[in-house]
Amino acid sequence: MKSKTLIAACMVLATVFFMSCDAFMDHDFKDYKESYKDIAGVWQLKTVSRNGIDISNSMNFSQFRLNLNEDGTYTLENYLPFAVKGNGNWNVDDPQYPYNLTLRENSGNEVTIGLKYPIVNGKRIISITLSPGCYSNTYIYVFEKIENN
Amino acid sequence: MKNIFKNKKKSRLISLFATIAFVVFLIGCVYIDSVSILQIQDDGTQAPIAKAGSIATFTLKGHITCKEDHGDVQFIVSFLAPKSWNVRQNATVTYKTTLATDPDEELKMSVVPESSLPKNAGGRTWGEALMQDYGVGPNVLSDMEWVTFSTDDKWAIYNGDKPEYTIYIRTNVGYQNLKAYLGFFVNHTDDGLSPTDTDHKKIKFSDTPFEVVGGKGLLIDYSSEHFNKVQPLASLQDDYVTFSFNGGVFQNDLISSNEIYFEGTAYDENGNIIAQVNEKTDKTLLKRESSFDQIYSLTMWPASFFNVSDGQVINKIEYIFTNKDRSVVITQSDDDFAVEGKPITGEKDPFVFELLCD
Repeated sequence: MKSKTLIAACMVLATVFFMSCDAFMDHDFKDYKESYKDIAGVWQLKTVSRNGIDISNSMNFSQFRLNLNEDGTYTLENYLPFAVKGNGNWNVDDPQYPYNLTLRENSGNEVTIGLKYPIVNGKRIISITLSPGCYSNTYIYVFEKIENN
Repeated sequence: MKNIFKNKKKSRLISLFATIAFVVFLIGCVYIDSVSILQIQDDGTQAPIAKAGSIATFTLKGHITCKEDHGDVQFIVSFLAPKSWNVRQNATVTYKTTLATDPDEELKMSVVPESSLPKNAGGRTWGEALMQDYGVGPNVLSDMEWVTFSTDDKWAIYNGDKPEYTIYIRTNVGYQNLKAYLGFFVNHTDDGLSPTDTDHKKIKFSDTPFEVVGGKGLLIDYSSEHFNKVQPLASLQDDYVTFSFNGGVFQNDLISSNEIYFEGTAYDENGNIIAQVNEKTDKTLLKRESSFDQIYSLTMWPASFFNVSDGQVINKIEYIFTNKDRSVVITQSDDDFAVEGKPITGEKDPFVFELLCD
């Protein structure tokens, strides 16, 4: 009776062991790919900080829109001081890990700005650091994507 | 038996706490004994004044009472100064210490990079932590920064040592006329801004404001309250600029008005008027910052506020604060009278903000 129980226990253990090995095959990790970040869309300016201090409630910033179109063009609506002044084309350095957004104005002027792309409160945001006026003043613009209804 | 056990446990706990307290106490203390912001003037006298563009030397003296052996420690000094001085790039910091073989040798201190965080400041940089913990001290304008330096050499100090130190901060004071209290802070890398301890760090602000004269622009007074305040002080027309009326600092009639407005005139570099804005609408209405004080502010993008066209550049903005029917105005003349007792004669002068970036 004892030896039967022992054999059964060994079989169960062996099954678990082999199943475990199979579940963590290397190729599963190799097949994993970081998703492409969908930067394209209409981005509304939500918060602005100046030299580390939030000034979002000091002015109406919310009308400013950055439209990053699917076709690679961009437009600015209700302009506020920004890295570029005119419309043009956009791209990111890496669609999987976008760290830099390049805006090329129709006039030929090209600006590359650092980009952060986290999810905050369940919503994708982009955070851009810029100095449109005096170089010693740093602003952080946080944009929220306007979802299509 | 149970009581004996309880007593033993209690005494062990007391011993443990006593040991911890003893060790903390033993590490020692750092002290600032004196701060000098005096500069030698042309006539040979000393005053807390420097000419614009010159190099000023600030001297900090202190000592340490060491109550424990301590190895590989770097000493820290942080300096609070107007941002326009660009201390990070312009300052040269040296020190003498009796720990050195030659106590008269000036040894080097270097700027602590932003990536090197203090040990106990919860992930904040030295500059961030000092600004959050101590602010700008007795100054009233915030366009200042703490810049931190550490000794290039690492030191070993031993129980019973009482080393003395002198730190020299030499920096260009920039070209902006200004007046500000300067701040000095000492610490060491082993402590790294420990929040619960004050023995290992000391802070001192200059007793009098330091002044830069003979430079460009109107005097920016960081050190005393005025009716007006502009932030950031270094701004251009594509910045967001906040103009504030501080109605609580001196007696005035405007503060009893329900609505306080901004009136401004923008000039180009030739002194020509670009635009004058004197409407009494939401565009010019100041907002009260909080119910705890009497500060009213208006934040604007000057290029848009004054409808500047392509190619035009605002050089300065003249402005006043007023009520809806303009029966009460607060101007630079009112501020001069309130602050310095300067009598108001003739037409009142407006406040002036020059748009400068350096």
